[in-house]
Amino acid sequence: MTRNKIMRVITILTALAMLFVVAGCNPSSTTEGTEPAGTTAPGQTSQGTDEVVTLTMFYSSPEMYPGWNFGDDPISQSFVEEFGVSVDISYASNTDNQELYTMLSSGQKLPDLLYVSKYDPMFVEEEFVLPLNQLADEHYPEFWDLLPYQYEDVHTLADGNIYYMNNMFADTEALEGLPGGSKGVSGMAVNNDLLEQMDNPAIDTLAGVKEAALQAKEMGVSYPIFLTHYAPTHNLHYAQTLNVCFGGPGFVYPQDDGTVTFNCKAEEYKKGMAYLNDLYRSGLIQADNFTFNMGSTDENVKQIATSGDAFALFSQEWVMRQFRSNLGVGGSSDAYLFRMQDLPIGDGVSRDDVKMDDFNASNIGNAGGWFITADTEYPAESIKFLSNLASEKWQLLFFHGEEGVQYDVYTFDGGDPAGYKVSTPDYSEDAGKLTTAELIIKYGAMNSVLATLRTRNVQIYFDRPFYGPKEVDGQMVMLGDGMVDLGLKYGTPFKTGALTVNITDTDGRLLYDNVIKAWQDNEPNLVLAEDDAAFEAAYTKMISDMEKVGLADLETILTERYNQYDAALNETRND
Amino acid sequence: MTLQLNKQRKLGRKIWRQRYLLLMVLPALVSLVIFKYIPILGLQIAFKDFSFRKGIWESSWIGFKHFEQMLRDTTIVPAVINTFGISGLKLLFGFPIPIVFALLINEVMHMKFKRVVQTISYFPHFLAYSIVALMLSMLLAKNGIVNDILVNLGLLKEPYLFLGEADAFWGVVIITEIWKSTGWSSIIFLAALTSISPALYEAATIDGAGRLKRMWHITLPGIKSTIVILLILNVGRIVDGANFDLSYLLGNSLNSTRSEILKTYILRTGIGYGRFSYATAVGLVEAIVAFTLVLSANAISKLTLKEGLF
Repeated sequence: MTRNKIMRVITILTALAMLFVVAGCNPSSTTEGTEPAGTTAPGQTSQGTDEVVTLTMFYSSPEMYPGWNFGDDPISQSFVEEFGVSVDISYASNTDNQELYTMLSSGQKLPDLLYVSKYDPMFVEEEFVLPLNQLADEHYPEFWDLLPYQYEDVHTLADGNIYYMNNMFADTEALEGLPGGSKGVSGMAVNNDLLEQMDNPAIDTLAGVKEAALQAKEMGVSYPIFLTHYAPTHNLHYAQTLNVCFGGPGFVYPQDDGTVTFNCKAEEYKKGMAYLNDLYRSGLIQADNFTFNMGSTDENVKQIATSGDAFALFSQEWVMRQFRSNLGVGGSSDAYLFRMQDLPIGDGVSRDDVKMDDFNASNIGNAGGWFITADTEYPAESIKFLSNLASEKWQLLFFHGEEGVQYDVYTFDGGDPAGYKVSTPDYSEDAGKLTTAELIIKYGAMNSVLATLRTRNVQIYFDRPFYGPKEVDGQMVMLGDGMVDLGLKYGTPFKTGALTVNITDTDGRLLYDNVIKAWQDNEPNLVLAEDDAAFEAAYTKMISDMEKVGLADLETILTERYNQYDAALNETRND
Repeated sequence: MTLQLNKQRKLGRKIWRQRYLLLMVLPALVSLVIFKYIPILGLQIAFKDFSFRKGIWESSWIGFKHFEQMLRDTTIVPAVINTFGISGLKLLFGFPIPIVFALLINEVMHMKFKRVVQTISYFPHFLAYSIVALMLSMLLAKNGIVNDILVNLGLLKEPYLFLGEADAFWGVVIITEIWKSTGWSSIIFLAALTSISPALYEAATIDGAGRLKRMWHITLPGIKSTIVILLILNVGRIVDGANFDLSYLLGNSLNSTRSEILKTYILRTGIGYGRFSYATAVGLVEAIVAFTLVLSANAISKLTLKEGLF
């Protein structure tokens, strides 16, 4: 009898446990971070509203600062007070949108806002996002005054709607005759302490960098040139940087015969790789750099970098920013362990060859776009939030903090704003002590999560290593890259992100992926070649492997898209 | 007719008598149906152009397009070779080791020592692969402890880049898998060993059989059925037996020719771009191959050992 009772109890408990498990699979249930709509909380805003609406957001970008939340810092606090809108950000674990796809495929409601690749047509085509212009007309006409320069011309899609805010401005008049091609914002970071111990040798040329790295090696530094923890999966970053050092073309570029191809075929790219190979053969690059990745060896990298066992690294700006952030030494002061440095230039290359042109559009930042989802229950608050976030005023605030305190405006002779320069506030007491998140919370500035929407005048310069800095009034200011980003309307055949997603048919996307993978997989062999013959063989094999998986077919697609793009650009100009 | 009714009544009574046991099985059956059988319906998207908005049922049919694309893609070949290579070698070396380990543990008479060894051997099973990958990246680094030992012992002249040499990758993951799973996998064999009658060992001992002979003639035949069943199941896992976590976490440009497996291929070319139809098509082929292997292994086992899973 007792046995029967025990069995009955066990059975009931087991059944209950199972019930809970099954109940957890209910598609209508929600999980933290993916709540379908915002919440309201009591509070007083400057606009007189009593409640603060907290919108939910899915944020897919490597930029994230664990420990910082919207409203933690003085700038975002001001934003909440002024508009009565806050945001609860849920970060993607990587940039391939898997969490978002899971939400969509499981029928979960989307958050109010998305920050994802603007080039993926799926969000618009499948009506997961709302037209911003319609929301603006209905709820927030101020949107039209806050819209960046030429934005409407460029980003209105064929159905007459604008669906996203992104990090661009356009000045199509100024782009006549540009060869085009995004080179990315590249540079070099050096270990400040080691540089000082060497009495600050000149490192504005690649030859100078090599000499300094040799000195570092003599001082016992194991990784005189460190290729960052993105080497295995994002090795194109440092290779592209070296390509820039030699004045090479953009990632994708039109050759003299009109065929558009990747810059691995350009002589400058090869020179850049030969330089890295020379560093390797001189014992300045270690082969195990290529085994580090952010998934498994972050701690390893951190240990090497913070222990003074690495001297300099080349990469694109955002990679280095995250590298510094991961070390817990983010921020803008030169006092940090790794100081951003002007890009060194290769032998026989003039700095003018890599200079960016005035008034070109910027694609600084990334391919992300801000969308408002069709699931939002707060359309008015969402468009208010996005409009103001995208405004120049708030972009400046989120990036630089208060004007006059942390940045100043510089103008060209004609009076047009040319850019901004950070006034280098005194962070010295925090240098090396606060993480980037803590710096954001303390100063409100340097918030790359929110300051992604660089409008025409939010061209920036602070201590970062942007290549081709422009001198204005004796100050170096950062100017934009060399291509108008036409976004989803026409596609931009010069951006990696655009290529991967704008070739929307599965054949094309697989083709692109395979070609790039063949390139990435072979590239380390160029760096690690033991002699000139091995280098040439590795280069030949790399091109051959790319051809085997369909480089020629991809070039045909790229050329077609380039011609479409060129026509679209002319059309926009003529409009 | 009466016989039929009697049989039904008997069955009904049997069910009623075992009602609590059956109820305890029910949740497992429900979860099996929910998590294993209902999702099979989703396989149809392998033949469709899947759209999130339209969902599984409303997406349009496109026939075998994804399968044709998979066959055209030459980069899937190394992924297939690596998957079968790693899984096959893992089966070859990794399957017998837990059996040997269980046999050895079974022979240990000192209970305290036996328990300590068992506990230590189970421990790696509970480590997450991300932790294991981190440990490996440190242990196998150029300045890691493994290279230090090998160089100091004079076995290597200079540190070897274990994670940067494509040819070393299979070895690294197979050894890691064996280390991680041996203790845990031996549990089932140890359980099977308890079902062997001690009288058989006593009789063999009286007949003068030594330890090795007892193991060979009593222990191994005693757990033969368990070994066969697990072998058949493991053969079926050859297609997906290569470890995704290790390939994903330790894979890099230098070893990618040996580290990409079907699962990382699916992630890279399918799921990563939201191409769920393509990913499903590859997964479906994987499943069909795995099922065929299980059937084949079962048939071979029945023919040769007179034992089978079904």
